[in-house]
Amino acid sequence: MTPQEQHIDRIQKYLRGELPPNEMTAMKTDIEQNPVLAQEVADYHFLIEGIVAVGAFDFEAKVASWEQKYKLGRSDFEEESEEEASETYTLDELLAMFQPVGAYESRIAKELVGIRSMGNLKVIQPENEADFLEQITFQLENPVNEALKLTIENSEEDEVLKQNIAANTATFTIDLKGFKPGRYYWKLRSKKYGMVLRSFFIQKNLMPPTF
Amino acid sequence: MENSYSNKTKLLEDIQKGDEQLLERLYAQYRSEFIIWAGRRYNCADDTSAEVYQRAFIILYYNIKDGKITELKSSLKTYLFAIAKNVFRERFRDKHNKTSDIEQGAAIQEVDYDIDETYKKEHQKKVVARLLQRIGEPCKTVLHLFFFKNYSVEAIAITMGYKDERVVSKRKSVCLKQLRELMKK
Repeated sequence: MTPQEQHIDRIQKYLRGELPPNEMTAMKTDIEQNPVLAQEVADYHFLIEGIVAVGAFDFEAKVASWEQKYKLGRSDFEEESEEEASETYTLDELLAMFQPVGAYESRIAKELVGIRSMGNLKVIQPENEADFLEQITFQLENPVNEALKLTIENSEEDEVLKQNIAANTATFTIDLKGFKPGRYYWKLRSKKYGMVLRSFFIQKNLMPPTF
Repeated sequence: MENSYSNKTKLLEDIQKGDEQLLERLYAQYRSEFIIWAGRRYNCADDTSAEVYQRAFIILYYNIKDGKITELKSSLKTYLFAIAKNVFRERFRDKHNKTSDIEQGAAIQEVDYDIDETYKKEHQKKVVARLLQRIGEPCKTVLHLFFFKNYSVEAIAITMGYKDERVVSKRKSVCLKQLRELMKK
């Protein structure tokens, strides 16, 4: 190990209480006298604690997913398919899946408070940020006499669904089976009447509390 | 499942390693019995019992992972149910304390402090999760195995296929350094 690597090794051993007593005391003195070292130790403390917290979150999510199988009436672990077994997510995956898209959120917020309008197309439901599981139903205030284009994007702005809606449709339902949990955005476009943009969730209960 | 382990030390070792298949099977093995037992003993709904069971199972795993349980003097079930009794006790105590605090109009400052701490912890978790995502493999796994699962450097060398523990120690320091550099950007 290089001297720099040995230095980091010493810090992490100090933080985990793994240094011999005399070296622990020496390290404490060094920290008190050296603000740069003190900051370094604080940074590594933050990171190591964070690594443990992320690990705990992932494990606890896994246990919750085992419990969920009972709630859904699927308690037979032996017969569980590989596909079902893979349906657990780590914290960083969930953070990515529920990450808001800043530009979209800002447009939605402005439109909802009436600062900005994207046209005269009016959608009664779904409400912004509604939570769905298997399907989403749209209801227009007034059907329009032209075909509409519906697109759904995930939190990474990847288009996951594109569908034409026939002219004069007032209500239609989209199947969400196969969609992963996460935050999504739907856009309903009309050439004449503009566009409506809103967000929705699938399994919002899985959203990390930081959002 | 536990019965199929003639050697309790091996069972403990496999739990400590975080063998997920084993953990999931152990979770399933005691769950039904626990729900019935808790329902009778504490007169609580199945959902409450299931919540307590989850919490107790997580604590049991952490205790083994963190080396607080180093040998099984009784069956794993005995440990699990004993932990669950404590979880129930805490829940009842918390419920009682919360009511008392509200009645006395006190502890508001304490609650604010808790919220602040919770927010800080959530923020820390979120920041580090993102950093780990950016740093990628093998750093992510090495750091997870060492700091969360408490694997020894020797065990990490075997798991990750490294030549020896010196490679692991070096890798660990390099990864931590990179993580800090990413954080500072």
